[in-house]
Amino acid sequence: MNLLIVEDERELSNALTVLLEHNGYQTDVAYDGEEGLNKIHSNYYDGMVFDRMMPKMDGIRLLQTIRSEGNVTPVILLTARSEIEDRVEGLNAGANDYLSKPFSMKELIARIEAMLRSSNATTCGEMHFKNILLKKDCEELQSVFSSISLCRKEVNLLTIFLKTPGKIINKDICLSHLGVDSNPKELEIYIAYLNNKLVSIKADTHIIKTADGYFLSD
Amino acid sequence: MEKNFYGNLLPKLELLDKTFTSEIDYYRNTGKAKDEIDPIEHFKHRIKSEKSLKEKLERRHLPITLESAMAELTDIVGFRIVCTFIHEIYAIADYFKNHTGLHLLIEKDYVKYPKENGYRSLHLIFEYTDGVLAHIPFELQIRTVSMDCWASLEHQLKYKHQIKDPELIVTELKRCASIMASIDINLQTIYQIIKENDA
Repeated sequence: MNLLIVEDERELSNALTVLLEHNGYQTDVAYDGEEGLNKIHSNYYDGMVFDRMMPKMDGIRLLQTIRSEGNVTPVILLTARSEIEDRVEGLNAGANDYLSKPFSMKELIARIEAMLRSSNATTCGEMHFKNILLKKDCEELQSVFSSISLCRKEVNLLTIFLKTPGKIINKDICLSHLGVDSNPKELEIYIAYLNNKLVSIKADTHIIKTADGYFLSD
Repeated sequence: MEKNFYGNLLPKLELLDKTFTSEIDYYRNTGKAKDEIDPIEHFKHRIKSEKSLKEKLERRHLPITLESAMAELTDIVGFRIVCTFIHEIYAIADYFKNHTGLHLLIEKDYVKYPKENGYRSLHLIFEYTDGVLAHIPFELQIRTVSMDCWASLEHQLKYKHQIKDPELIVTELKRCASIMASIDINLQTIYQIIKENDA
C-alpha cells in the first residue's frame, strides 16, 4: 500500500515515514499543499495524510481541490485544532477521518488501517470507466459487447488502474496489489492477460507500459 | 442415418461433404509439411439427419419439404473444426475466406460477440462458386477446445427437460463460459509470450 504524507513539520513527517514504513507501507512525502497536489496528480496512492495548516495551500483547500477533480482516495486530516467546527469543516471538505495533534502514533496507524479497510469495502461493488464495467464481487469485466471472468489478482490490479485512469502507477505499487511473492515478470504476464481481456470485450481503453510503470489509457 | 428425405440430392450433398473434408485435410497437411503443429485438434462433419432437419423446419414454422429446406437452411451440410488457440480460429477462417473456389455468404462471430447464454464459436456459411457443387450453402463452425466443451454440455441441457432449477444451471453455464473464455485468453497470451521468446 502506498501512502502520501503532506506535512510541513519535517520532524513529524520523518517520524511518520519511519513508522509507516516499519508497518509495511510505502510512503511519499510532500512539505506543502502545492507539492502535495503535484504528487497526487502524478502518482497513485492508496491513502493520504494531510496536515491542516500548511504553507502555499492548506489541507482543507488541498482536499477540496482533489475531491472536485474526482479523486476519491481516502484522506486523514491532522490538525492542532480540535474544535468541533474545525472537525466538521474537514469532514465536509472530503476528509475520511480527522486526528487532533498531539496524537498517539499507534492510534494513527489504527486509523489508517481502518480507513483503508473501509475504502476497499466501498470500492467493492462496481467500477465504471469508458465503456467497461468491473464487477468486483463476481470478478467479471463487462462491456456492451461481451463479458469475461477475471481472477482475483487481475481484479486487484485492474482496480488500482480504474481508480486513477491516465496516471502512471509504478511497478512496486502494482506488485504490492498483485500479492505477496509476486515478481516483475509475473506482473508483465498479468498486464498482458488484462490487455488481451480488454481487447476481447472491445474496451475503449488498455494498459500502457512506460519506463516507470503502467497506466490505463484515457 | 435416414436421409431418404434428400432423394436425388443426397449424392450431391455427400460429394460436398467429401470435397470440403478433403480441403480441410489439405489445410492440416500443409501445416504439418511446414513442421508446424497441426492447428486442428479435431474435426467433425455431417449431413443433417432427416429427423433433425424436419425438427428445424418445424421450429422455424417452415414447410416440411426439401425445397423449403434447401432454400432456407444453410447448415444441411456442416463442418466443425476444433482448435487449441483463439488466433487459430481466425487463421483457419482466413484460409477458407481467401480460397478462390469458395464464396463467403454469412459470417457470425460469436467469439467476439458471444450469444446471451455464453455460447462462443465462429460460424461461416460458404458456397462453392463453380461446378456441380455451386450454390449449395454449407456451414463451417470453428472454435477452441474449451468453447467446444462448453457447447457440448449446453447442448445436452437442451435435451434434458427434468433439470431442477434450470435458471440456476443456465446462470452457472454462462459463468463457466466466461471463465473458459478467460482461460482461452490466458493460454493465448502465454502462447504469444513463448513465440516472442523464440523470435
